Amino acid sequence: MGGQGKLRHVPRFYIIVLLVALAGQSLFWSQAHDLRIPWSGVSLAPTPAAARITGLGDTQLYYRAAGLGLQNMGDWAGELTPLVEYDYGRLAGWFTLLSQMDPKSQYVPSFAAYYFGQSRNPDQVRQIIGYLQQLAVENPQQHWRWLAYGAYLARYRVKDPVLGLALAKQLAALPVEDMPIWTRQLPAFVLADAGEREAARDILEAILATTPELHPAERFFIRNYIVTRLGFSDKTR
Amino acid sequence: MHTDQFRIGATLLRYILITALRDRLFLALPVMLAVGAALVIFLSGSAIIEQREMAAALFGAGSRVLIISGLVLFVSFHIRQAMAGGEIALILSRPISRGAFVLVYSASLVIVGFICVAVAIALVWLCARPPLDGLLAWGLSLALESMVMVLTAVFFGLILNSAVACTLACMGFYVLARMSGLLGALADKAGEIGQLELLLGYGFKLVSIIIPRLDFFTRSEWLVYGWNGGGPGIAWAVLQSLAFTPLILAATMIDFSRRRL
Repeated sequence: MGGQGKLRHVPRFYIIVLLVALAGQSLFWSQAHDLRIPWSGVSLAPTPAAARITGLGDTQLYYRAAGLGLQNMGDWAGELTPLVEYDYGRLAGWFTLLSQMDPKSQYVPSFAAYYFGQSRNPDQVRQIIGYLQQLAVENPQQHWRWLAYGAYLARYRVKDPVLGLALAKQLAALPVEDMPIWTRQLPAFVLADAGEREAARDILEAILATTPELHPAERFFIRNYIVTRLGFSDKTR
Repeated sequence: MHTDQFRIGATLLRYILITALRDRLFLALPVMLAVGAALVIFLSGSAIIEQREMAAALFGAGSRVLIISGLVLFVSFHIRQAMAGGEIALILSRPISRGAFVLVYSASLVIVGFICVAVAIALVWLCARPPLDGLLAWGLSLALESMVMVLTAVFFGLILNSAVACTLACMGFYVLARMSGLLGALADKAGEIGQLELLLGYGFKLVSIIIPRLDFFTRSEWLVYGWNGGGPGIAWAVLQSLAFTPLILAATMIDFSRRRL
């Protein structure tokens, strides 16, 4: 009962069929192994309800799996897609959807900012900035840092100082108590960079006047910045 | 009399554990879980940050699907084989009522499920090092979810005459139960779309009374953020199990009591 008999008991016809089929499969492989299904571009993000159905109600699973898919999208099996070929409008839709599914995680904002934010196309980077701005405004306690990164992208990638200043001011005005002091100073740095020295000085002096608990080293840095970088005499000393 | 029933119950548990070993359930499922863990560690390593969280979410969900599928397959084919081979008829020739048989048989299969869940919990711990409170909540709710699905598989297995039909019915039931919360929310808004949608919405609401809310169970965010990750807590999963378990057991006992073997 059971077990395997000897191969010689198998009818020869079956062996011939097997060998012919093996040859056919090998022939198919020789023609098909180089064929790749081309990447069809960034798909439209689903609705939140459709996304939850896809994850069978497990939003964390959907967040992580779709996030990993987005991170590797277009770069698969040795094929690399230049960032300029991605549809950033659709990407922003995906980022927004996923950040709604897990508002705490830094995973999706990280690769949106540090990877997709490296595009040389200013219009594409504006989409990323819009997403980061929305994220920080909706959940400032968790995501205020992304507004600072948005200001950096606006200043150095998009080269739009007006947008950079707007983002820096928005960051400085966020109602988060434990933000470091540089977030309040950022509008002054951006203004100084744009040649608006007096406006920059006014902001820094306002910080000195309204923040008595500031560390002495930080006070020294601000005064020194006003004198050496902005070129004003040290009246506040 | 009670001693006899206890002895038969112990024999039944032993029989089911032996058949689980015979069907290689305790070998195939841990091997599949281990392969899944290796794949998840490899995949999550490519995430630019939060690799641990990625591994926890992917392996948590993957192991849940593997365990539920494995148990449903095992129960469906086990019952069909036991029916066809006359093993169930033989057990029922002993002094045990059909209701007691359903209870003991179901409990034995649930214990088999708990053993598989224990393996998954250990692998999640090794693979992703989740917060301990989250792992405990996740493990407890996976045990409850596996219990609900084993009892459902016993119900379908004893009333349907085909293992394939039983498996498909269980899988359909599982998908519906995992989505029932969301479908309920969509049904609430169906009236805004049209009359047909309104009727379908009412239909779903009616069905949803007896469909368990499995979306309260085994939530991957517990493995990522701990058991206070937000949303309904583990208590809802426990309450749902307490409500659904007697319902499905009673339905199984009623149906099996009038069945001709």
